[in-house]
Amino acid sequence: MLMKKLFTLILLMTTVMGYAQNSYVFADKDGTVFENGDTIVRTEVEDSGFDKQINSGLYVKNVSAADGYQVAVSANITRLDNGTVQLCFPENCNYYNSVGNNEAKDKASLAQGALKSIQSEWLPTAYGECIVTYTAQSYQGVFPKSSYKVTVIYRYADPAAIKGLNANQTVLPAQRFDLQGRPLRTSARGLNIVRGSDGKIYKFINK
Amino acid sequence: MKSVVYINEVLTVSLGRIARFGLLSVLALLSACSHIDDDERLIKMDVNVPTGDPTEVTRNVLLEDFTGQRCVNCPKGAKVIDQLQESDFGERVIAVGIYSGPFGKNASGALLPLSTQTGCDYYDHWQIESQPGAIINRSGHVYYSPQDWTREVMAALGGKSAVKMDLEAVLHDGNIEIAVHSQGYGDFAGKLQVWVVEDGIVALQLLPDAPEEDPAWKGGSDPGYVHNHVFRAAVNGSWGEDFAISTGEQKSNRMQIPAAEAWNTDHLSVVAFVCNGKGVEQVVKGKVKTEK
Repeated sequence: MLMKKLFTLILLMTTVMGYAQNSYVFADKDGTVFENGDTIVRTEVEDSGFDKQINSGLYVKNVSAADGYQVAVSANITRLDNGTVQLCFPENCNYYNSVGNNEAKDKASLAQGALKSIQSEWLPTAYGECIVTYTAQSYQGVFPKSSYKVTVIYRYADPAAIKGLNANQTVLPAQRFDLQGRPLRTSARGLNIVRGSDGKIYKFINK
Repeated sequence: MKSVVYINEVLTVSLGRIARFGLLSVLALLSACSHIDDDERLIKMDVNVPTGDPTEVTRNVLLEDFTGQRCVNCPKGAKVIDQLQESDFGERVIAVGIYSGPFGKNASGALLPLSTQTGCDYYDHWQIESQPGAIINRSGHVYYSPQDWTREVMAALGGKSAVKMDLEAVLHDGNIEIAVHSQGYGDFAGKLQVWVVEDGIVALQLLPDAPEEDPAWKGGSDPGYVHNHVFRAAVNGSWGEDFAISTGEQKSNRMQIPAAEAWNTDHLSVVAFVCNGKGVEQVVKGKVKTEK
């Protein structure tokens, strides 16, 4: 009986600590949370009225952040064949047209359970690919706490060439490896090699 | 003389803060709190108002809003401007929407319909980093949070000016003829800048995906969006002309500009301001009247 209570207590504490570590996470528009380190492929091209764009479809969700915790979203662009990436979270719109890490300029505070779109898109000007790793960095005051990463692979291709490919699929990491080929349980700092659920190999840098 | 003004402020009720006081406090507070719409939230601010003293002139406020049709967060800035202009001191707040920057262009770099090259030159000159961003009375600082705009505008309304201005603008034979009249209440030297702005332009605007304040809104683009106080052109060059006035002096500056075909002449106004390295000394706005 004592063991059972102890087990329940530990489970509860582990759950609470797990949430506390990732107070702000990435989710889709329905609130379904992506796993930290997930890679998503986006191929659905929309017409904004001005440009073609491929939407990240990423939202920030407060799963456990207490009052006083804020979140900032940065965008590390590791590949940009053409066009621009824009990010409008939370109050301003920013625009990036080269590879590099773009730190967040402002922060938001969301109520627990609330979702807010990061309003980030790739605006391609020709067929190609763009890879962006978004980081949701939680802050308590000025102090950075946990961070949560999702990589979005934007692909703009001839529709005939991608026939049969489901638009906007989430590629779940089937296997992760480090540079030496050793299997990893979760994403690690540095270069990660991921075999996705689509069978393809992805490489990304986890800073 | 000070007057009290109430301005809307967006507040967020935080359950996290409440939680510190324990479950009973939470229940008590939750039962006592109800959601307050943005329109009903007020903050109290003191503002200097004209005293009626004939030797003093109050300074109006110029708010340059660097915006863009592709900037989904920019309509929030426009909403703050609307609230300021609906306040008791709204006539003293002269806003100009400068459509410019990367969100005033498409992905290939072409200007969108409401953007101008002059606006983009201003964007580059002031080194705007993201949009929306506002410069208030050319104080040398760019404010990126529309909530800061209210505070800064209210603070700026307290100033006195060395220049009293008014203007006349008449549409005559396709030209807008402008006369800016100035009177010195002190000594001032700097630049006189005159702009044409247009209200009520219906044009496409991108909007946020799902504003938290309106869960029913699905986001996207709005072809029926109404754009107000849109910068159209600089009448006397992008950076104005030299201007100096001394105490007791009166002067008039006259100029004209052809009305472009794309402009709706019924909705045009002229904004005139004098400024120097210290900022805007005075700004006025007048509607363009059509000659009968």
